[in-house]
Amino acid sequence: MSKQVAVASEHDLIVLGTVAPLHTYLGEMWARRHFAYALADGDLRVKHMNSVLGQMWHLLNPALMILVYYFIFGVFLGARDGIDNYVAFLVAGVISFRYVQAVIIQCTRSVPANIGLIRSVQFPRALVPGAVTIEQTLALLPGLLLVFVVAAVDGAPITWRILLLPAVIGAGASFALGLGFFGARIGASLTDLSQVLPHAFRILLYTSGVLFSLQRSVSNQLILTIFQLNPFYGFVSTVRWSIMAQPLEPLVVGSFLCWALIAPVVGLWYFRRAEHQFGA
Amino acid sequence: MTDLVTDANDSIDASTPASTTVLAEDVHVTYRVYEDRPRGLADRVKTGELRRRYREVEAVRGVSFELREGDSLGIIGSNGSGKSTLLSALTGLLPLRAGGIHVRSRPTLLSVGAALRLGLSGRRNIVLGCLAAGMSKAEALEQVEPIIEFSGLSEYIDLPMKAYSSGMRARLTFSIATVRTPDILLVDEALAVGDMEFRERSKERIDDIRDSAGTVILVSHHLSEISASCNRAIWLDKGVIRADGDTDEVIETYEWAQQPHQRWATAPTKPLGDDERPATPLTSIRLLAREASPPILARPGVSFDRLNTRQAESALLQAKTLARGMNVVRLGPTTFIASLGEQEYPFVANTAPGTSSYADHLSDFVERIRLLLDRSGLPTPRRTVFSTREGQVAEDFLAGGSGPVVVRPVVSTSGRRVSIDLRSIDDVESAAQRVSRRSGGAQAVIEQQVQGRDYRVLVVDGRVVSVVETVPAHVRGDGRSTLGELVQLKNDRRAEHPFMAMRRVRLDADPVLVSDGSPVEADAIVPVGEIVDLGANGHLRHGGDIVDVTDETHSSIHAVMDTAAKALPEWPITEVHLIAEDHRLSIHDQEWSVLGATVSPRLTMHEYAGDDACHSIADIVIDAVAGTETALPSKLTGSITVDLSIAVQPDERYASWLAEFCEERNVVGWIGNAADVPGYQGQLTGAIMDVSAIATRAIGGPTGIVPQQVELTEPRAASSEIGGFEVRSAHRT
Repeated sequence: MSKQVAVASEHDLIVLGTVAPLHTYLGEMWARRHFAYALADGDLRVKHMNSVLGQMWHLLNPALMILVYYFIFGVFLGARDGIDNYVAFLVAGVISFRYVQAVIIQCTRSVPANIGLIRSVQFPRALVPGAVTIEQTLALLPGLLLVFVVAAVDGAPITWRILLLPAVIGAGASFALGLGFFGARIGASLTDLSQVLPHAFRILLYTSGVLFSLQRSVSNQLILTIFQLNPFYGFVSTVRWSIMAQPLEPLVVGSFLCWALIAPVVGLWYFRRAEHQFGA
Repeated sequence: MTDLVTDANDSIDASTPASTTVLAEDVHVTYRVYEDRPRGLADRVKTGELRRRYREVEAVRGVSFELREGDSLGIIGSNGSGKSTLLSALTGLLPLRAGGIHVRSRPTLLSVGAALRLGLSGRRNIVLGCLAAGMSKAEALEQVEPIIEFSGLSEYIDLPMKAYSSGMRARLTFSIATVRTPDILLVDEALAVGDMEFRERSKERIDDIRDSAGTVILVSHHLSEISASCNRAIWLDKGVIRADGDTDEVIETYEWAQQPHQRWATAPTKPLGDDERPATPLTSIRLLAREASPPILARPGVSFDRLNTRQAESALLQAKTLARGMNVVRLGPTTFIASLGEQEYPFVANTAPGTSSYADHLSDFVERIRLLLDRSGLPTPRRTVFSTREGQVAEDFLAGGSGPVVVRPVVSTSGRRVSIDLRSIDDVESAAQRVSRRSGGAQAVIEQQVQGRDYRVLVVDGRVVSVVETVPAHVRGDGRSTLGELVQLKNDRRAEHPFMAMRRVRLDADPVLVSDGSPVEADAIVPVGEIVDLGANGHLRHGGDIVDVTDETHSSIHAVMDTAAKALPEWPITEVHLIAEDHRLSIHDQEWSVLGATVSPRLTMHEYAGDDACHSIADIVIDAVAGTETALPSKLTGSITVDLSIAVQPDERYASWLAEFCEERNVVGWIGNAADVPGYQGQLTGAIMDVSAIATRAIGGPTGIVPQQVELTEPRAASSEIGGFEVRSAHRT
């Protein structure tokens, strides 16, 4: 037994730099959930504190973007043809897609953005992507309001399924956080990732049936199946199913739910392996 | 991660007093720094190195320490020394490359930059900080008011923190982090900001932490802060601990070691003017060669081995010397005398990783110099080296001549431990014991005592430039004061005189004081008019008076000394110590003798780079001792110390000699102070003059120094262990 081990055990010392076991880690996370919430809440406040319209931008921003998409894709490219309640379809799609996108991209930037905090306070680092997810979920609320209004105005059928919306959003948050864990760990050392991601999401935007119907655009059955397995498409479709009673294939929802369950588990495992390198 | 703070509190109660709270063992932290210039893909494919090139920076290299309850440790060091990295490692935030850190609980880190959320108000930051520390929501809200109160920022608490000054930010973060007394608190430069009152309060909090058996580690550039708050300090340099121990001692060491750099940085661009001249005269200067890095030096009061691993290397040198059949007399961790037969060679050897140095104490090598003087035909007193343990040689010496003898150490100690006027073997033996007590060495020199007046002859460039007579220090009794008080009075008067300030009279503790053959104690009252001669240490430099007699000196003395100086071209003589009856008479009409000479450079540093530098130095030194002087290397770099403590006033000719000397050796600047000679503090060589003026004139240009404050220790009178004086005689006038 070396000297340090002997002294350390004699005085009941803990070793720095070892990762706590998973259950302790999760316990710590739970104990500090208010911290994560306060962090999310604070960041949300800060972002639009200095602008005239303040929190309104959480609503205005997507609304303006949807307006652009509506004219380009819906009107000029004719994507609205053959889709009932295209406006509601578009709004629900863009809002929900932008939500997962924001979670993942913000997670990727979260470690460098919180470096001061990470360097000065000890807490489970997984709370950093966690706080990002909470923050974006809070920011989603006005967007959802917009979806309801548009759906109502557009005359989309509102059914009992809308009661499942919180669960659907929860699954989406879980899926996004799972990928966010990967993004956060990679983005902690490779800041290039957050530069590349917006372009990746642009491609995903077009391949996830956000602006137009996949069934109508893809004729090859194999390719369609592949597209349907895409969890982004799964989330967008499930949201539409919940809000405006769009049909939902079991394959699509099944794939999405699998992702929502597996992604955070694998993501947390991957993230925690670098727990002590954040802040370096 | 459980709630460790609670755990820690439990363990405080259970543990014995002063249990370990932090244990760092052989901590290594390495950074990767990526190459700034990105290489093109083609280049990467071509060279086969697909990854970016990076360099590993070893920020912390093998740091170990152990802290206990109630300890507060200050970490000092220059920028980039690894302080902050070490602190980060102590929070567990940085991966260690090797070694381990054990803590009783997770440390709380406070640093200036780490304000929580600048965009949020102070109040929200308080809540956030409390929650981050693991408090529940209710607890956090409860703490808001006390924190606001402690920070003293109630007026600004609802403003966003980005509107705060850095001082206000630091106050708030400090208040948040310490609201619950942390068990282990790490503070990074956080306390330096803020007003006096807040600093006072934060110091109290730090004391609270220590009182409640916590531990504080403070990193700061503000040494006063460290000094005020810490009971222990570590000096970190390039990731390695250079000194560890009592705060003030470490700070002193650190500051002292910083001097050369500081002096370079603050060197005036023109030579010092008369009125800018340092208040404290200097007695030695250290010349820096152009390429030399500032020498690593030990400071009085701090042992060498505290500073680095030199001691081990010095032991290696000693072992090698012994293996070559030479005797080694160890004087200190890095100082020893190697001898082979009659040849003796004292040297100081310092080695640090990758570089080593040794120094020839040329002037201290009294025997060798005297041998050369003897060979050049000058009369030198009969002498021999004897072992203090075996008195036979001394006995033979006494029997072989008439008249009193002198016993002194082999290595010159500026008159210390020199006993004169010895007539019996008992006297000689007790004198030899004084020598060995001082040096730990087993050898002393016994020498025929030469009667006469004491002259110092300054030689520049082989020519005599001035002659002074040194008159022993003395006091005149007033019938009321004791001998000690009279000496004190004399010293007080001298303290007011710029050139005499350091020429203080010191009384030795051990010798029996003799007046008219009867003992005189330091506390005996000296009768009116009685003159008590002090001095009599064979060199007569301490406390004595110096009278310039150059103009009255007989030309034959000049001529003889010129010859002597030229006889030693290898070692330029700067001063010859002459004993004669009268300087006004021809040298041929009187008894005279040369006691010794000072050569310059007094101490030559030889520095080597490379891993086996220590070995090559050992070989060189050993060869030198064995008499193979040609082995002395010609490619020397490093610093050269020139002793300018000559017994004359500053002299232009000396200055021009120094200028040439500097030019030859590619010397570009100088620093210096007698205080950096161990053992010299407060005990400076008698002939005080403004060395800085000479050196400034000699080198000119952008050199010169802002001298460090020299603290003269008060003469320790009767308890002095290195005093230079005994009462030789007393007579009435």
